[in-house]
Amino acid sequence: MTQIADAEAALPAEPDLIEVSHLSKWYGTHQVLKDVSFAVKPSEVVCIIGPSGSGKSTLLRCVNFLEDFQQGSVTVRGKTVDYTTWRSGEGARDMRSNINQIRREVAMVFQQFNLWPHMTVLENVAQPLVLVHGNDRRQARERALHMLEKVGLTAKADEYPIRLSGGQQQRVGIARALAVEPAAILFDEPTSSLDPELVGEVLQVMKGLAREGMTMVVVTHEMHFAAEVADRVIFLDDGAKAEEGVPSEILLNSRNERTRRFLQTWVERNSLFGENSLRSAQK
Amino acid sequence: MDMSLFVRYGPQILVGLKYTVVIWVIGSIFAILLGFLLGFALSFGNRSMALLLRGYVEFFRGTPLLAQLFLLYYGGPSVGITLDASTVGLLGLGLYGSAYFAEIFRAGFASIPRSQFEAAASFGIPKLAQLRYVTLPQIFVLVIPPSTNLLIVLLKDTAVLSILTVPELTFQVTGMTIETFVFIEPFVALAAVYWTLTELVAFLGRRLEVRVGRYLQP
Repeated sequence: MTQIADAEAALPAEPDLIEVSHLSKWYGTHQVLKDVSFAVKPSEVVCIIGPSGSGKSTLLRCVNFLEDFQQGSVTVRGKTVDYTTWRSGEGARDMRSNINQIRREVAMVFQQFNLWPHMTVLENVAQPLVLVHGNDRRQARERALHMLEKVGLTAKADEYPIRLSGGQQQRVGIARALAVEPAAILFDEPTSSLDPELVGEVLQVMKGLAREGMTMVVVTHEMHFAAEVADRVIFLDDGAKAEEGVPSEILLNSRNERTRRFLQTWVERNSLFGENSLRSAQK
Repeated sequence: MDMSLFVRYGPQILVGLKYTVVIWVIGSIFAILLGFLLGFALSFGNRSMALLLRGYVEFFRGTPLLAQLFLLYYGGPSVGITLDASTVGLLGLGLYGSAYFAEIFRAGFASIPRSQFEAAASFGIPKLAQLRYVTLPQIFVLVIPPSTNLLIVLLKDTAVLSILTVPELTFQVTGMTIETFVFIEPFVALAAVYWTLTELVAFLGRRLEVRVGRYLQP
């Protein structure tokens, strides 16, 4: 027993897969992200919650540089993009190369799915494999079919996205993200534009991924999902990280005034302490 | 109605038809290619270039085709460009059409939502591949209805070239009426020929639209 404990202690601390460090972003003079730092370890599920307009999506989009920022850095698997030094004009080429490498390793699932409408479901999933990951058409097709099987949409492979329900489109979005074998997947409010009865099927797929050990950063309003699946929850308020911790700590016993008030409105809206309370959702 | 007239003038009319179709086809291809480049540059070029090209588009869209043809035909020689009537007709039609095609393509580029490029960028798909695999396939579908419309307009506008003595269909039929003093039948027939051609173009346009635009139909 002691031997095992010793062996564990001797292991180096698992390095962070994603590290966001002192990230600040301005639109003109208005600061929308304020010195935000957080880290994600492999196989962790981190949920970012907070009021509308608090900068959750913007923060997530900074991680793969769909938004630029003015200060701070993002590091993924040892590749760093530091806007503070880039701003002062150093190493612009290295930055661009790092951005591309990070984008290859971090896939994204969008609120509006953002499928390419002129491609079939299968082509949507296969296209990044061909264009970025050097698969030939046949390889890409096979892998795409496999991914569609995983999200239960094999039957829709040759349909165009417009013929799919929102929930199905989002599952295609997830299959597309999974196909590139990413180190982590960023989810930007993946269920926010779905009809309530379609939310379940998407969350089900996401829970499955979490169980399989996929590293996930999820911006969400689904508190039950956060309570049940997240390893850590970050509460963002007015562009700043107000609180971070395990779900039970943040969602049930927060000492932070803003967090409590935010969750209170959510509780009132969803009668949280009925049968399906957050407490019962806790694993 | 005197049908023997058409038999007698048959060969001339066929020559006219050939000129009309050839000038329309080549002029249109020229207009589409130039229009695409203009639309692309207007969408993605820098400010000063866009301003310059905007001036080009506004001129060719804002002045009559006939005035442009006269400028090229009679004004050309004074700057060392001497062209025969048919070439002027073809070139004039192409330049004129390119201004409209530029706007069609510019609108096409503008109509593809940013979110589709974000999805591509998020996977690290390079800009050029985004253009090739996300933008262009959709542009070519989106521009079909307005392009069909414009091609029909250009087909009818070839009639203007008769004023420059280009031996196209309208020129031949006008000559026929002057020689014979018969007006009604030839012009009715002329209108019928243009109408037949434009209906054919419209039909092909609709076919193509349905065929390549399947992804737009829920």
